[in-house]
Amino acid sequence: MDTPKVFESEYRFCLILWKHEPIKSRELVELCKKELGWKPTTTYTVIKRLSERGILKNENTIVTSLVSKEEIQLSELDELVETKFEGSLPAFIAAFAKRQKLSQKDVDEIRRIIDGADEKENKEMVQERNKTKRNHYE
Amino acid sequence: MEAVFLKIVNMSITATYMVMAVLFFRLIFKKAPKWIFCLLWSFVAVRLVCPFSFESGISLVPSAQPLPDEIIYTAEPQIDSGIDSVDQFVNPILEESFKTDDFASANKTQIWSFIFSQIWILGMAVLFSYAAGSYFLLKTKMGTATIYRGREERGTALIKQSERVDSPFVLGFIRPVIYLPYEMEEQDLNYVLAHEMAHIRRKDHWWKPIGFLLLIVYWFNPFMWIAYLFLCRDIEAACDEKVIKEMEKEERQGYSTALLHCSVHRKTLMACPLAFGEVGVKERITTVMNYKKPAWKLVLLAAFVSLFIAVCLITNPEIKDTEVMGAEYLVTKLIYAEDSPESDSFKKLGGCTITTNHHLVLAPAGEDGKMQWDDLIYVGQMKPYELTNEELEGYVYHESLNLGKITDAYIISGKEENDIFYLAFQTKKGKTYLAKGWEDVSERGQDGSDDTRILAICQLESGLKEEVNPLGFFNLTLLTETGHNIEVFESVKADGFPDYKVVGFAADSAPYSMADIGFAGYKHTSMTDMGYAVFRMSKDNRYKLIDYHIYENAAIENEKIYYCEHPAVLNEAGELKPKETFDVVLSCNTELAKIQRVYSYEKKAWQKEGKEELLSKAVEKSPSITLFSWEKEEGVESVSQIYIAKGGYQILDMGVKDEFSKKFFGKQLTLNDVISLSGKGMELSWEDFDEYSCYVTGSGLYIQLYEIDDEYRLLIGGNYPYQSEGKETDESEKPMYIYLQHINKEENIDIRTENVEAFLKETRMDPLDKAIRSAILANHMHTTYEPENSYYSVDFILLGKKEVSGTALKGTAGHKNSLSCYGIACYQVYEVDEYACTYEPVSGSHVPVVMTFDAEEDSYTLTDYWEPGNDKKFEEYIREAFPPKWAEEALNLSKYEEEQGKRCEEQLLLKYSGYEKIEPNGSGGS
Repeated sequence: MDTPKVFESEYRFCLILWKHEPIKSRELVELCKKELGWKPTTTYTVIKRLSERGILKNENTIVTSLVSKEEIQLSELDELVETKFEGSLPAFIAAFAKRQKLSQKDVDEIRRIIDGADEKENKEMVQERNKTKRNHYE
Repeated sequence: MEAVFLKIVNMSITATYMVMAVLFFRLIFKKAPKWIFCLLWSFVAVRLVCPFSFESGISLVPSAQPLPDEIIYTAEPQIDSGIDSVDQFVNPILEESFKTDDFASANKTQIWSFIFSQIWILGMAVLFSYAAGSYFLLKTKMGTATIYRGREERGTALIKQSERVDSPFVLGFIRPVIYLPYEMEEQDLNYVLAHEMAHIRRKDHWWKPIGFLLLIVYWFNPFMWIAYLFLCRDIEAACDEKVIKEMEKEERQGYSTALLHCSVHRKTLMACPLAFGEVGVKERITTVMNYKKPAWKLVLLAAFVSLFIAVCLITNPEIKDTEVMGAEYLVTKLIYAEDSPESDSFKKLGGCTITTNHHLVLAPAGEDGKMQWDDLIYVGQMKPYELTNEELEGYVYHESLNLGKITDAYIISGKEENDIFYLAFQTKKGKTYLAKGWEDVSERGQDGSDDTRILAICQLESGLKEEVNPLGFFNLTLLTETGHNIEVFESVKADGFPDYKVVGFAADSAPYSMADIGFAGYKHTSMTDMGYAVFRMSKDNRYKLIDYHIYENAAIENEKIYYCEHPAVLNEAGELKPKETFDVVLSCNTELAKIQRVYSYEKKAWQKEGKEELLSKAVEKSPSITLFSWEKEEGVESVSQIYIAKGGYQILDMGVKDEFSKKFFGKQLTLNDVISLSGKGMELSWEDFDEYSCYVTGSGLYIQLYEIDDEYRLLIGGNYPYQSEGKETDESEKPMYIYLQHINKEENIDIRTENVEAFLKETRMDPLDKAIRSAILANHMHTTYEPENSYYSVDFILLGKKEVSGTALKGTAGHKNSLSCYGIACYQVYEVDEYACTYEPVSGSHVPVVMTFDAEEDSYTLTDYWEPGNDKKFEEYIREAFPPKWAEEALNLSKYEEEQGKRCEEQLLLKYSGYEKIEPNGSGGS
């Protein structure tokens, strides 16, 4: 996948953007100040940086995202599987299962996914799982 | 800059002693609470920051100034570390490496001092930019850090997170922010926050940067790096302690785990961020796990010891003089006295004088307890004596004296067999004592039956005060030292040397008997000699004689101004050093008011002319002593001294009064000045003419003579107000007369009461006469022999004038008249002997002449000067040149010879009437 890499702090910025877009850059700056503690210059710098990377676009001071939250999440996951699990998704899932206690409901769902073939559904499922982990920081 | 660097180096050396002590303390008091260590490091910081310090008796610092001030410019650098072994090791090496001829050596040390100080500055700049750079870099890096927890709750700091944080830290001076990484375990988080908050509460985000700043300044001292390293460690340890103080073992385990999780290898020594995991993680975990609350006794002990260290090493050692020095001592305490009649007289001792060469003079106290300086008892000169505390104690019965270690002692024994002796001694504490004892000389050396005993001991203190010049004390010292009758007249301090006094004195060549000592009744015999002495004063107003010189016959005549052959040297070693040596000028001249010293600098290649510098010193009394810094600077061609008398006159010849030609240099007085000054009338006085050049003449009456032009001069006569030495200007003393006088006529007016312009109009010479005189002078001057002190007189008898109203010559402007004058000119040259006040004619001429002038109103320009040739055809020439009616007269020269000669003589006498009366010198004739 060629979704660009987003650093954690940038990701949090994106969360705000996704929540409020399309949004005037000035309002975005205020939001970042309140929720992230960023100076206006920092926000503008990040906007510029991310627009260069193709993650958002800033037209006539209106900022909109070019990449969705799901895409970013998936990109992260792919990288994780590639680097830490030598590209083996099953290995990843197995490791994940070891960690988390799966309820019967979860097991059934997974079976369905494996049996099923809808990529999109798969993605969603995995996304749900990851969401709990990310909840920490929201 | 080199001096600043020197001070810094000295400070770092003294701080190093403290650092070593703190390191030692840390070793011993390992279990003490860590905040004590931090406190000790703060004392080190104080030492490094304060350029001054207090002196105390319990200071353990070996030396406050290991590198003396002069090391940066002296030819022979030496150190004074206070530790003998170090000094003995280093100084010979310094001597060797700087041993070349004086001049180059001094340059060498200056060059090295300069180099070192520049390197130091460079180092500081590098370190500072590194620190500042890394700080700002980090700050920028944290730009995108996001808030974790704001400042809403009171007393907590702002917490931010960033993906660029490896290990938690605190950044910021005024409002510190805690930075955490994103991925952190819940449990770790609390411990980490507790630790960082502890840092903030302890204000560590200030101490560490301050410490680093000090490190930047003192970077050249390796101990400072060690100190900083340990400071950082101790800060972390103190924080750990603060956090885990009340924790149980499990909690501490959790803390250690957090430590482990956050530990990161850090290569650089960051000054600012207080990182959690950076410093000695393994040690910290060990300490944390093994932590036991230290016993309060230990804490107390550690606190006391650290305070003790602080006082010992923050204060500087007292520098005491432990020699018996010269002073007028007062008895402050009787510390021991035998109960016997012999000790009674000593109990009544008010004080004593010990001269700088250790002559002892006792001064008993009177009935009222006050000192009787008139009733002095001269004892004699004391000799050095190796007195030990044991020996002294041996002579004392019952109690023990408890004096400090005796460092210097002198004794004078009686001449009789069973006799009194006196001991003067000094202890390490800086206290001075005088003891009176009795000894049976015949039993000396015989053990067991030695009845030697001390009768009484009293403690002494210098009674001399800083402000008061102890001339009496100096007198006594110099009397005993030189053996001559001395009278000290002044004591001066040299600039920059508050510890030294240079004393001027008059001396009598006849030897002085000590038996005559007594402050009342110095015999004032003829004091023919003068001299000076150099004394050094210690902090408690006691003196040491460094040097003295006596110059025979320097005071014989009261006009003498004496430039001493030996300069005054203001260092104990007696070395001639540029800033510590002074030229001395002694004077008995009552008129001397100022000494000016002129330094002439040789002209350098690119300069138009050489440089001259003037240094002036006022002289307020007579006799006087004046000091000039002895600085033979490079390129000084000559140093000359000008002595200026009161009223601004230059004393031309040292000591010899020159009545005739004392001239004061100033502006030229003009007739216009005279006219405007005369407006002041009777208010006019001496001061109004102060700025003009004049001659001082007159014997008896005081006369100032101002030459105005070739016709007029001004004379002011009276009693000059400043003439009497020491007396204030008497405002009412006005001159007796202020005469404007015509040189060739005996006419004068007092400009205060009479009209100057009228006088000028009346007396002014006719322009033609003036022109004729000038013509005659011009034609004769320098044509015949003229001795040095020549005066020229001119006289002209006008026989007739002939005017030719001429038309203007072709090419010239204006219409000029031509005038011819026919007459007999008489020209005389006299030689005047100003000392003998006689004169004598030496050459001259008496001859008819014809002068032709271009006449234009009142101005005449000579166009032709005709004189007959001195040969047979003399008569013919005259008949040719002169119109007949005057030719006869012209030939009748001898008729006029006498009267013209007389008139010439009169002119001479008139000229000198202002100065001095002169008389003809026997032979001679024109």
